[in-house]
Amino acid sequence: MKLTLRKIGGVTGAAGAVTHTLDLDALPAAQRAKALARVVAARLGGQPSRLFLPHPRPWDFRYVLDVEPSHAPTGEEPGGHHLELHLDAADPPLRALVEWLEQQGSPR
Amino acid sequence: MLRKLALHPDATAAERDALLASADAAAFARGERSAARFVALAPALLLSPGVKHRDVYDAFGKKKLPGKLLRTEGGPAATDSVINDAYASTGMTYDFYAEMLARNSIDGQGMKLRSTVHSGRSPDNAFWNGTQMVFGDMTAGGPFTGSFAASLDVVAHELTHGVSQFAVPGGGLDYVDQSGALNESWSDVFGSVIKQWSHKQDVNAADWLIGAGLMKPKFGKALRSMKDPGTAWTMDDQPKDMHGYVEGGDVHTNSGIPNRAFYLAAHELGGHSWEKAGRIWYRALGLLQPQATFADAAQATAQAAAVLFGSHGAEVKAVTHAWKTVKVV
Repeated sequence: MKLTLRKIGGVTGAAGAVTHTLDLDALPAAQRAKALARVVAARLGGQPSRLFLPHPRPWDFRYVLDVEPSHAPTGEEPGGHHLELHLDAADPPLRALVEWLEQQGSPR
Repeated sequence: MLRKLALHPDATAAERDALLASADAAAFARGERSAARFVALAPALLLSPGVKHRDVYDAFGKKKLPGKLLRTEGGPAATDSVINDAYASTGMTYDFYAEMLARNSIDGQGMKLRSTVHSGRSPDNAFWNGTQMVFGDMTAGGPFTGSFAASLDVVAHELTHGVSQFAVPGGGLDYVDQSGALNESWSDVFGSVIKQWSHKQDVNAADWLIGAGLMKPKFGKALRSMKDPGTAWTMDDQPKDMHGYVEGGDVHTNSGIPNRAFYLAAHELGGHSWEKAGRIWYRALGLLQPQATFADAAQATAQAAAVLFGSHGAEVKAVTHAWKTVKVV
């Protein structure tokens, strides 16, 4: 499973967008299990495709989260998702997933 | 009611200006509910009217704001040129709004211009956070070079997000869909106009680029082109008119349409963009509302042109022609 998080905003927009990519299948088993637990806790399948604040402001950056499954969905591992959100509109588990992804790897 | 009176055909130009100024003040008061939380967080941001006050802080790469105060109004220059760049660019933006549009700072009430440089919150970016400017540094592997704080149009763009936050009744344009693209566009408009004003350029001499020179050459020449949206950098996806409108697209994408409308109006009117087109677009802010559409913006700018220059003048025609060309009306 591959997670891709793109953060867009500020004056630069897409030109300065920061992308974090994490391949769960490349992680050691214990780390992969923890990462997968975060994904499952975020209940991506139950989220709308756009999760925006009712009155967003210029400092509300737009996040685009893509989940690409490495195989067909199983009971353990969720399927693919595409979700666009403002961080302050996310529920705590989804926000935790996004904030954790922002800390992972070298962004670009 | 004040706006209706201002738009009455029997009102003189002086009466229109006075009525619209009163309407703006009333709109500000109504918008105070949304602005109040920012002021409550930072009461020291308010000053007495007519005073320019800049504070520049250094976050030293950390996320916490505002950081350490390293330059204040009238104080000595800092050893870090980025701090001095932020000081100079915010000062030029203040001067434009004060001298050309008689606006006392971002909120019209003398708000301090606070900036933080070297912020860890926004690598490869700069943004307005509701109370202050935040400048990140360029990353080695990123597409940018130089300093956002030294780019006057970038700084003016971000401070104009603050202006629209206070000038649009109801707390500013919602930063999503068409109202969000208008929010971005108005910031690009005044970013470009203020750069032109500082260089004393007319509409033909201006480059109409936002962030010219900030991108490494292999990525492009600028962040956006108001004259020719979609051509500024390698993956520039801005549409030139409504045929290219991206449903659900990013605010920085669809802003190409109103950006070009401003360029077309300013170009048709000729001369200096701040003398007519800039005044019209500024006046139109008070005629918008948080969920304004492109069509609302076309109507507001035409109304503003009529109020400022008369209903049958070249200004209304130029504004209407511009919005027609980008296929909004």
